[in-house]
This record gives sequence, C-alpha cells and structure tokens, in this order.
Amino acid sequence: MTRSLAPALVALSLLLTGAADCELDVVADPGFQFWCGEELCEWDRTEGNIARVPTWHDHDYAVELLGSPVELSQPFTTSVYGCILIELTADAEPEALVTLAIDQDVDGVAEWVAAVDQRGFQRMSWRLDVEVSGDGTDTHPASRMIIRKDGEGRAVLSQLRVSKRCDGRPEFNEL
Amino acid sequence: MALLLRTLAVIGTAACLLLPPTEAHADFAGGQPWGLEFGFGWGRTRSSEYIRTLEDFSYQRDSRTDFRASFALSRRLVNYFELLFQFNSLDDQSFERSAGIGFDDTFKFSTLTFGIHGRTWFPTPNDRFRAYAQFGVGPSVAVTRLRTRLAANEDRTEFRDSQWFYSVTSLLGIEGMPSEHVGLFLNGGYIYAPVPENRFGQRHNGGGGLVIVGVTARFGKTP
Repeated sequence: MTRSLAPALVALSLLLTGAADCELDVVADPGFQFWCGEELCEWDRTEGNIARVPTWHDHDYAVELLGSPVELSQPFTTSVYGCILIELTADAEPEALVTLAIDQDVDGVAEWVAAVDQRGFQRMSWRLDVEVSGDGTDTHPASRMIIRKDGEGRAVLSQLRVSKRCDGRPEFNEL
Repeated sequence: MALLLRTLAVIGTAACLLLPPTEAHADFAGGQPWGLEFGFGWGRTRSSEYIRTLEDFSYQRDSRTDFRASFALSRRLVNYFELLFQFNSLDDQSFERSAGIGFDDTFKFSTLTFGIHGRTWFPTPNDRFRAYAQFGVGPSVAVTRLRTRLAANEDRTEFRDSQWFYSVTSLLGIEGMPSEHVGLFLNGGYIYAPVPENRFGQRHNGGGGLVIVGVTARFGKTP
C-alpha cells in the first residue's frame, strides 16, 4: 500500500512545488560569464578569437566573436528526449552570418541550424523536439551545441538559455 | 504631464489673484512659519525599456515595493506661499537570474529624490485647513547593486554604483490642523526621476504616480 502510494505522493509534491513545469538548463554557463583568463571556461573554442565585453552593465559580460570564422561549442549537460526551449539574447549583424546549431550524434553534421541576426540584444527563441544525449562516453559522445560565425560583422552573444521547459503548446521543429 | 503642469500653473495664478498682495495675515495654522512633514503611502511606476532589457538578459523580477515615503521641512515666506526641502523614497526593485547553477545573479536598485519645492494654497474661511499645489525640482539618485558570478564557484562579486540625474515633482494636496501644532495631510501627484540608466542609454523613471498620507507639525513664532 505504502509502495503504491509513493509515486502518487512524489507526483503531488512535484505539482505543489511547481517542479512539474520542468525547467532545467542543459548547457553550462548559459550567460557566457565564467571566464578562465581569455577563454570561456565551459565553452570549447575550436576556431577564431573571442573577447569578454560588457553589456547593459559595466560588469555584466557577454562574449564577442571576433573576426571570421569563429566557432564555440559544448556538449549538452543533460540528455533530453522531448521539447526544449532555446532562448538567445544577442547583438548580431546579419553580415556576421552567425548560426546556432545542434549536432545530435557528433558526426560533424548539424541536425538543426538557425540563423542569428538579431540586433540590439533582442531575444530570439526556438522550440524544438529533440533527442540529445548529455551523458556522453568515448564511444558515444554527448550531442553538442554549436555557435558559429562566418562573416565579418559584429556579433555579441549574451544569454543562451537551453532548457527543458514545456509551457503552453510548442510549435515543434523536428530535428 | 504637460496637462498637470498647466493645471498647477492655473491653480497658482488663481491663488495669487485671489489674494491682495498687501494683505498680511495668518493664512494657515496661525501663520506659524515652520513646518515638518512625514508621510508614507503608495506609488507605482510604469515599466520601461530599462526593465525590458533586464528581462532580455534573463533577469526575473524578485521583488518590487510600492511603498513610498516622504519627509519635508517647510518655511513660509509670504502669504500663501512656502518653500520646502523635500525628500522622497521611490521605486525599489530587485531581480535575479540563474547562472546555470541556481538563481545566483542579483540586481537591485533604489531611487531617491530630494529637492526644493514651492507650495501655494487656496484661501479658506478659517486658517485650519488648506488645499495646495506644489512643484519642485532637484536631484534624483539611484543606488544600484549587481551581484554576479564571474567563475563557476561559490564566489559572487558585488558592484555598487550611484547614478545622479534630475527630478521634477508636481503634487496636489490637502492639509488640516485640528490642533495648534499638529495636523494631517494627504497629497498625490507625479514625480519624474529618470534613474537608473544602463550602458545602452536606456533610463527607467524611478518616480511615477504616488499618494502620500502623513502627519505635519507647525511651529515658530508668528511674524
């Protein structure tokens, strides 16, 4: 009897605490604010140069992608099999040719790519139905989130929130 | 705002026209020249590009107080006119943001104004009650505090800042003196205090509409 009630009690507590509205960042350092010297601690820079720049406050920082090409990436921290919400706050000129991508099986080919051409630190968002692996091994590496810049325009990224969050009825983009 | 200023100008002009300039008499509270006022109440400012930018940078409002307080020292100069040195506490908001390891970035601001105000009031049959209009200018200051993580560890770094700009205040009020030295007042109006400001040049009006009730004390020798 006790054992049969346990899942119901857990579900009830989740509902009461709001945890049922799942929200969890699935990339590390979504604010590009953890710097190890001249590099981002949590993001791998595979091409180009970056710089730490202030945003709305002298001490609230973002990453500027310098020159072209520039590529940053990192593995997902958590596996997701369902919907995710991606929100990006950026100041990116269209000629900077910035893209956001997900390489699901780390074969060098992105399964999802979106152009980032929002000026003035406006927020962009996408809802996706995904199957990404966050618990990578040597033989099956974790899926990666990739930021790439292929043009010479200005591109500053401030917040990249990738969360398991399913509020409302999302318009899914299948991977 | 323009309509309010125009209304105050009309009220002030009417008050001056109704009063013969050579007539000197106790026009309120027995003509006691000094006054102290302390009040508290409610106020609300509108959202702004400044706040929307905070939201674009993933900050969520944690708290916002509608409490307002004011303190004033007044000195009657001529019939139906006095000067005040007035202080107002205004908008106070705090925001928080997750750095990926919990809600750990916080940003808070508090806005204050103080300035020199002029107040004129209507003649009344006895001198125990008045309705007044008040206009003032002076500095406004926003004290901001950003606490943020610069590395993925326990340490958060705090950055404090004070931003100064101007403020403009217009108020309408009523005041009664049931006793010789102590009374009550109610006033309301609008304060324009465009601080704080962010690096993009966006300003938040830390003032807004407000309603204040409080106590007043009059003292000093009648001239």
